[in-house]
Amino acid sequence: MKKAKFLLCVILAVVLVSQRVYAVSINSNIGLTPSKNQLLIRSQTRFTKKSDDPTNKDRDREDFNILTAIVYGITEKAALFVTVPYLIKELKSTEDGSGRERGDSGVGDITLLGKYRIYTKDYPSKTSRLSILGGIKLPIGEDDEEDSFGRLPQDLQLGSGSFDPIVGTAYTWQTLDNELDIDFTYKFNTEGTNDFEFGDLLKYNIAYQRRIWPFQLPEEGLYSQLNLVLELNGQYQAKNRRAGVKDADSGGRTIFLSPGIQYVTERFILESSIQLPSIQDLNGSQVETDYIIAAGMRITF
Amino acid sequence: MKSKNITITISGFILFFFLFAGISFAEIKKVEVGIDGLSCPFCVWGLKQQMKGIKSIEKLEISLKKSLAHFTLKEDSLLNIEEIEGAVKDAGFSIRGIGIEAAGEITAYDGFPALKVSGSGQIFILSNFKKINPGAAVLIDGSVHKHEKGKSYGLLIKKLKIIEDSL
Repeated sequence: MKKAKFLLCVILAVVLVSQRVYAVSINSNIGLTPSKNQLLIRSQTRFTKKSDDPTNKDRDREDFNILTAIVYGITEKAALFVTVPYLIKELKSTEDGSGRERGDSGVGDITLLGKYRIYTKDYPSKTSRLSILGGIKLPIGEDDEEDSFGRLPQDLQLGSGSFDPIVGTAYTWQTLDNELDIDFTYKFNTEGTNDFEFGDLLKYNIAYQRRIWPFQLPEEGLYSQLNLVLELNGQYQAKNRRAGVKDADSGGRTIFLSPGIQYVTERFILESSIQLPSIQDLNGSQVETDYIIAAGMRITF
Repeated sequence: MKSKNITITISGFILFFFLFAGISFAEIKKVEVGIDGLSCPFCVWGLKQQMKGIKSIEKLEISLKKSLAHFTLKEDSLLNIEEIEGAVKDAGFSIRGIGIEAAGEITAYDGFPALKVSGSGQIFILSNFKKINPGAAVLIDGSVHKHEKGKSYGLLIKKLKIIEDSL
C-alpha cells in the first residue's frame, strides 16, 4: 500500500509539473555543472528486485528508493548537491519452514556532494568538460530498527550510522546529437552502528545517448527532444565487516547494461531506464539482482 | 504647377520622416552573440536566466543549432560587452563573437573614423572602413571587439549601407 502511494506521488509529480529541460545520463554522473545561481531539482524512483537465492531460505528482496536531489550552482564551475532518499525495503524469506516478511520504510542517509569543473573546452554546439566530485554521506536514517523477529539486519536498516566520504570524477563530451559520459566514484564506508562497516564501494559508468527526435534540428529557436540512452553501470563492493571480521557473504562485482529513454525540453526532463545485470560476481551466498527500474524527472529554475 | 509643388513638398516630408524615423529609432537594431559550448536545451535555460539579468536586453532569443543568442537593446541603451561576457561566463560558456546591426552617422573619434549610434550616441571605432563623408547616415553590420579600458569598442564592418550622404 505504501509502495503504491509513493509511486502514485511520483507519477503525479511528473504529470503535474509541465515545464520545459535537458539531457544527461540517467544512472551516471556528468562533467557538466549548472549555471551560477541555477537551481535544479531531480526526483527519481528506483525499484530493485532481487531473488535467485543460492541458499534454502528462498529470499526475495524488493526495494523502492525515492531520491530527491537538489542541485545549486554556487558559481559557473562549482555546484552543491543534496540528495535525500526515501526508502522502502522489504525482504521475504522462508525460515524454519515458515514464511517471514521483514522490512522498513522512511528517510535514509542524506548525501552532500560538491562538484567542481576543472577542465572546459568549448566549441560551436559542442563541449568537453571534466569535473571532480567530493562529499559525504551523513548518518540520518534510522540504523537500529527492530521488528517482531528482533533487530533488522544491517542492509534492511534505513541508515548505516556512519559518515562515509565520497570522491570521484566525471567527464562529458556533449554535442547537439550525442553525449558521452564517463565517471568514477569511490565511497569510503566507515564503521557505523553495531560495529558494522559496509565494504567500500567503487562505481564506474559509461553512458552514451543519442537524439532520435527531432531528426533534423530547426534552424532557429529551441526544441524538445527524445534521446535513447545506453549505459554500462559497474560497481565493485568490498566485503562488509562486523567487529573487524569480514563477512564472506558480502561484496562482489556487478555490471549492469542499462537502456533508457529521455524526453527533454528546456526546463524539464522525463526519463526511464532499466538496469539489467550482465555480470554478477558476488561473494558467498547472496541474493542476486534481477533488475532495477529507474524513472524520474528533473526540473530547473 | 502649384499642385505639383505641393505633391513634391509632401513627398519630401514623407521621405524625410521615414529616413529620420529609420535612423533615430533603429539605433542598435540587432545584437548577435556567438556562444561556444551550448549543446543542450538545459544549458539554454541557464544562459537565458543570466542574460535576462542584463537590464538593457529585450526580445532575447536563442538558436541552439547555430549556437547564437539574438536580442535587441532597449531604446537609448548602450551595448555593454563586459556585461554580456559576464552573463555568458556565469552561465558556463564562452563567447565566440558579438555582431551588431547599428544605424547612426559617421563621425571621428580620437582621429579615427567612428559610428555614432542614433539615439544612444554610443561610439564605435570603425575598421575595414572605406572613406565616407563625416555626417553620413549609415547602417552597419559588423562584429564588435573591445579596445583598451576606457576606450570605445571597435566595430569591424562587414556590410555598410549609406542611408543618406552628408554632401
